[in-house]
Amino acid sequence: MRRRDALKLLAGGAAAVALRPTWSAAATQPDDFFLFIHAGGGWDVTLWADPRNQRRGLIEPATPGNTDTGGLEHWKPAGDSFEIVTAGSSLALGPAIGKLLDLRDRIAIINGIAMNTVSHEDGTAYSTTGRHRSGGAAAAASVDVVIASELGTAQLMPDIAVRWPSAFTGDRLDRRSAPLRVGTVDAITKSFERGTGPLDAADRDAITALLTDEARGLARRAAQPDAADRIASQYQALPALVGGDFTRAFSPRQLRAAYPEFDVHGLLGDPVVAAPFALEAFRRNIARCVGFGLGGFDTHTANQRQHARRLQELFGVIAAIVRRLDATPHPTRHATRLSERTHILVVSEFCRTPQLNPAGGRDHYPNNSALVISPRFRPGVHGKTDPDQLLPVGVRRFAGGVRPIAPPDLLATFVAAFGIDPRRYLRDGEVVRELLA
Amino acid sequence: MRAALAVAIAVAALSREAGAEPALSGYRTFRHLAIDLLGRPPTRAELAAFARPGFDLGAWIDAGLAGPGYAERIRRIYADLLKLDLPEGANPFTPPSVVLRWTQIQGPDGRMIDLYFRDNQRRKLPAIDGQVCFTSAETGLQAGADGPPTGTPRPVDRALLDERTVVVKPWWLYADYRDRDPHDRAGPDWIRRFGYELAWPLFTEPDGKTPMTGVRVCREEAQTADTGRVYASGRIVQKSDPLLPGRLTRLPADTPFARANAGRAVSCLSPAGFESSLDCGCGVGLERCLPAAPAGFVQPWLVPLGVDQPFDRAARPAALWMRTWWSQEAIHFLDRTFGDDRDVRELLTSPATTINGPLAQFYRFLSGATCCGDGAELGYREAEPLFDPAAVPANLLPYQVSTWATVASRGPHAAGVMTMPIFLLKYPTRRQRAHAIYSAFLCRDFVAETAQLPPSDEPDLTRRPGCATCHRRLEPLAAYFARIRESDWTYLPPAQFPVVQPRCASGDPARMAGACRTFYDPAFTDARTAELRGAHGDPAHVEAGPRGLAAEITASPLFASCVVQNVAQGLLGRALTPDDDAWKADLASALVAHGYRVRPLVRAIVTSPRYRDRAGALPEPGASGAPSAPATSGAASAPSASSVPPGHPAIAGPGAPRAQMLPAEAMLRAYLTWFGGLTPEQVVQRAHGDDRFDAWSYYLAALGLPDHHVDAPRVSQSNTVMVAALGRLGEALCAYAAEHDLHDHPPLPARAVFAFEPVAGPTRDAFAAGFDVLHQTFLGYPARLAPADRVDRFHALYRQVAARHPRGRLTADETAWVAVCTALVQHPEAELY
Repeated sequence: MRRRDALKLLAGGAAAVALRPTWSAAATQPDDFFLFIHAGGGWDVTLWADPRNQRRGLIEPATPGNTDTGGLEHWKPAGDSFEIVTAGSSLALGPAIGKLLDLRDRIAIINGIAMNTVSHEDGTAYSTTGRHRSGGAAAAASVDVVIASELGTAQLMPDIAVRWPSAFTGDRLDRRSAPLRVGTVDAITKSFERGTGPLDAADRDAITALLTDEARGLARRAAQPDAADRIASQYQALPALVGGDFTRAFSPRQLRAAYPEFDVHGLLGDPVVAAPFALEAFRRNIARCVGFGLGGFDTHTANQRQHARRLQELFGVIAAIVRRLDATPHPTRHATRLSERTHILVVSEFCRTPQLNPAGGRDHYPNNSALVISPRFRPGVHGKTDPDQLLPVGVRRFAGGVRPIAPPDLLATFVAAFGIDPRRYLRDGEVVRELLA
Repeated sequence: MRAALAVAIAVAALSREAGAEPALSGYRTFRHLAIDLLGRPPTRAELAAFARPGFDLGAWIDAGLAGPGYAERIRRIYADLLKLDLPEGANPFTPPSVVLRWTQIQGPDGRMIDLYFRDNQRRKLPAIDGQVCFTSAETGLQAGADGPPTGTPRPVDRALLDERTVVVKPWWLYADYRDRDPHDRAGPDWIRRFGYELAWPLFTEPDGKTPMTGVRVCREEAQTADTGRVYASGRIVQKSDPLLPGRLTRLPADTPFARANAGRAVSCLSPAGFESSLDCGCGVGLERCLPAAPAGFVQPWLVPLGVDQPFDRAARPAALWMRTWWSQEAIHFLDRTFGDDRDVRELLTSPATTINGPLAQFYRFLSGATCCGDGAELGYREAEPLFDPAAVPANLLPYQVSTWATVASRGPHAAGVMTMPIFLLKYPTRRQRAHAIYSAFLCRDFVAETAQLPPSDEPDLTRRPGCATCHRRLEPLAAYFARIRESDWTYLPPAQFPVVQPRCASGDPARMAGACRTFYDPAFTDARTAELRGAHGDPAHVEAGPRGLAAEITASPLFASCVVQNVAQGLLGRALTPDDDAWKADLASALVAHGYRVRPLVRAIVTSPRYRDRAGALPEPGASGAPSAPATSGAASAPSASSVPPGHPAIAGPGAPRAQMLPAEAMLRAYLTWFGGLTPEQVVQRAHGDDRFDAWSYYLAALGLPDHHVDAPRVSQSNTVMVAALGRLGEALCAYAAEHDLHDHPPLPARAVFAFEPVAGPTRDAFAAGFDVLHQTFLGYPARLAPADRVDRFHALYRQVAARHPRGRLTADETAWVAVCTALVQHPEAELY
């Protein structure tokens, strides 16, 4: 089956989305793209989003004695610590901001996010689903799944998660939006490759057609049809993906050649190849959401010395993504750059303690920051923390009174920006209009 | 008694009257049982036995419960909870006293030779004290930090070479390295004998051809004494001192210990011996050290089915492979607990463990190497181990990778998994350790859903507003780990580290420094006393240690109920709901009554109606909404729709069972079985032709296996990549099987998949006979119980493919069977359960 045919087959889903009553006047046509990045381990926000360069209260700032400053583009000594980075703007950023500084007019930073947890698993779930875990499992769908379910079902691959903590939980989700959760990009391309054995493409098409029918039959008869239904959709998508152009274009070697700026050999390592994968998937209009995770931010010991370098590499990757999006035409919209319709959300599970531990590292801390690069979001720094303890401070009145922003608020705002009713998927959270452009 | 009666009734319900044929629901439950108790779907022979009248299902279940598949299944539940593996780049075990660094020098004859040395090794000659045993002036080279040397080599004089170095027959190259004249040199058979092999960098000289018969090490490193004399050079070293000519580092200074104890005996197994003696080397055959480079130890890699069945191997330096064995220690410990049906509380309480050669080497010689840092300032100079080296079996040698031995008691501080290096590194802080145990064994979590965290000066988190919600419970639990250093396994003895330490008292705690700040908490220090870090949650818990935590957790009424919850959710494939509460309570009582042994619990679960309900996750042919089956004329093996045994009653509503993907481990084991019992590596070798198969690593990454290195959880729902990967594996499997079974045409018993005699251009009936064999193989029940049109649909596929072939080596019929096989092996009923 050709991709065009597959799209026709799946067009029913797209039509359904288009006909669905929209929650917001700013309803989004399903031709936007979404990139989610997880800085795994808990990032040190004092080095970039919420910079601290003075010893005050609990704060022990980065100094050359506890941080490897070599190679940090924006480290300028000031006293024992560093000079706050402003670059002539109203922003105040830390020295790990790296190449993202060039995009200072386009980034929205949300500081002082109240996490109420210092557990990796729970913080990750809270940041991405807006719910604390329940019984050791995610209690709600992650934001990528929500968006894929609402806006991505017509894509061949609505949601790809390369070590991004996707959670497919809830009975309002379209089964076609089940994320492709894999550990490496290789796993995707190699799985879709086919050799030169006795069967050819026509044989495989016949097999997947048969299997699709078998799965649909099971689904029709089952009391709980979701598993069989989902697998039927997946069989159905295979012919367009297996072999040929897709696997060639998405092989890691080809991606490295086509996107040499991501062929870096730094602290972040191989997972960076997920970034060009996402760009290629958007350029070819086959994915709606791509999420990937980059680990190594859990720096309890002397590895904290390299935390700023690791952050700088992360922001370098994000800046390179945005530059590519700027230079790439939208696959379906005339005279539109991909960056005009692509939305990036970067989260971590929490931040790190403002004080150093005896091993020279920083432990888990129930505050957080997030980064959004999206034409739908208002650039600037939102939210704040207290000056002595880096704890979230109430910044606006929510329904229950003044309190800090929490992950459910950010996620509600994010999905609402694209015309999705947050109440369909999020138990908690209020839309923070000030964040929106 | 009540539970035993329930089991008997349930087994009876699964059994059949004499002569009755199993219903589809029975076959499906049998398949579930095989997957859970044997670790794979049932074979055709097992299905045939099941179908025979009088089959004793209870006895079959008991046999399964006594086997390794059962132990692995339950171990997987706890392995997924504890995630005991480390990120690839984290925690390399490279203390300088243990690591033999590799470099090269040019020998007298002009050929490059490998040379091993330790950083910081004390040597009498100042020019080389604390570094490699040649100056750069003597060799023209500088040892690289992590690779080959740099510079322009010049030949080292023979006399100088012999003066400074010795050739040793090391433990990694000679099995009898402890003998006076070792001769049992490593060879290809070592992988069979010992479970590992040497890659060429450690097997040949640098020319890549000459067999390596020994390694050259600096003379001091080759020493074998157990004790040495403390050496003090008497020199004064200033940071401003210039480098001596040819040296890469400044001269090492005498430690305070060396200055105070010069001339006295010191253990060569202690860091103090390494730092302060000229007499301490790597021991007999260098067994107290690990070669850090080059990567020459070929070890199992990708081991979802265990280290004895690797899907790949990779060459690594010995200093890195130790992490693999730390992880495997926990796996073997869990396997022993469940395989021997021991008291499940032993996961936390047992002093025992199971170790192999590398772990024996680690515990005997290496584990003390991370002691004691600036603890020496408080008198801590020799590790008090969590694992007593004297308890290590003396005959377990470092190269014996595949030999595992049980140690009955590791020592007085040992407490199940909690004192194993892998646990202590995976959860490096006291709080993480306590949280992991609390969560896995009491099924509780620390979540402050709505607590506000106002800024506060209160250092005690059990009292601080907001924080207290969780820390009131967490801090006392974390205090049990106050005597084990964070990010390490070093025990902090009370003699050197009393809970209350007047010596570290400070009127200005912010100015505490050195060992006091490392080990004592400035937040709980005043002018009179200082408190051991982590003790504040409950000082009484400090001396109890992890064994105290084990006692508290296992005494909790939540413990048994949490075991039931973990095991039941794993086997039922769903979360327990309030509707299950009474059942769960009954099972918890039974678990306690059975001495906390899990095997009776699993027996009760797999024979329960709830477990049988899982069969309803996949519908019967006659279930509601099913298309009516056309009559099948003349199909001897396909009964009419009316003769299909009554179906399992469909359960509707939210409590209905949901199908999920087979555990990837079961799927992989099934593939290996279908490939004729080949090992994963043999599969790659034999199925690699025609580009139809790549490295397993690509597919394993797509199958939803949990990745405990990075805490990626198990995936139980399908996605397109998973389906595609299974499709590719299935196609490769079927092509290989067709070549073997059909094209090469061995006798029937030798055919793993196509165990029938095919005919060319088969009629529908002839096709149905062969199809039934494949159907049973992959779907676990006879085709006659499937929807009646299934045979016709697959026959149509057969004819369609056969009409377009032959291509290549196989005939048209053989290719058509490949297509049928490929479709069945990735059929939703094969992949879901």
